[in-house]
Amino acid sequence: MKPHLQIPNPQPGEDLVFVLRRHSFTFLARLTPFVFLFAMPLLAAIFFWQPLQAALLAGESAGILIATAASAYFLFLGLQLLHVWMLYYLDVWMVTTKRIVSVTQQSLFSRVVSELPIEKIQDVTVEVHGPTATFLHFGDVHIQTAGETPRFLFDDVPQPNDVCRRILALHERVMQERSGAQFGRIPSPEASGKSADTL
Amino acid sequence: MAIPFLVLLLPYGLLLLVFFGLTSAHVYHVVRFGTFDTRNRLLLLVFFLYAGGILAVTVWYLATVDWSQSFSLPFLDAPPERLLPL
Repeated sequence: MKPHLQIPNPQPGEDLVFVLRRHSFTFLARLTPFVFLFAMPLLAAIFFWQPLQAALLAGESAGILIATAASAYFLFLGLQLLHVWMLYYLDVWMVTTKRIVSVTQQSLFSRVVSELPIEKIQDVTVEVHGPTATFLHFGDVHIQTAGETPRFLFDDVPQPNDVCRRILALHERVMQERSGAQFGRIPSPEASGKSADTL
Repeated sequence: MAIPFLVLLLPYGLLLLVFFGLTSAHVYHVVRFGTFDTRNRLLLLVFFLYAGGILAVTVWYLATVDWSQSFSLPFLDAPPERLLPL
């Protein structure tokens, strides 16, 4: 099934080949502090249950303050969880038949979109560090480009070797298309029956 | 000096305004820049159920309070000479 993401500034004849996000383990790792943030007030409430119950049942100012403070705390904790999800979900790399587009949602109102033409790729490097990344099959993919442009980095993406292979295959196809267009020898991918899905 | 209980709701009301503003911004970003697929819809549904549950429990508790009452802060009622070492 093709992803339904919109490519930023789409070019004519450009197709989305695949979309990458960080491995879900990195998202779960970010959730660890929330376990404590949810558990601590609940444990405190259990520990101080008698005075807490007395304050709440009395219906006085202390009870109102405790109820509203606890309500606001848990509401904002939930909102923070939504924020972590949003940052994970909107950080995305899109590989199209013409470009690699990197979208980084740095914060709620800060979004960076950068792109790299496929033909400028010179070198693709895969880095897998640590036992977790090794066993769960995720790692970094560095894409070195021509010129002084710094390396494009897909960090903590699943199946990095597969990603590397697909990008190199795409690069090769784009270069073949280019030389075919220059010398009129190599047929287009549509004519040769290759589509974006086969990459 | 007697302060009505309703005053205690002011900071909570302000926090709720901030909460709803930020929630709207997050939902907008997820829908506008994401895909709004089944996974996202489910996640937002869980979030709204969670937030709605907390608000419902809070409103249920606050409804039991007698809002005609007031409270006083001891240091506001104290004479100035007891607050300042004159």
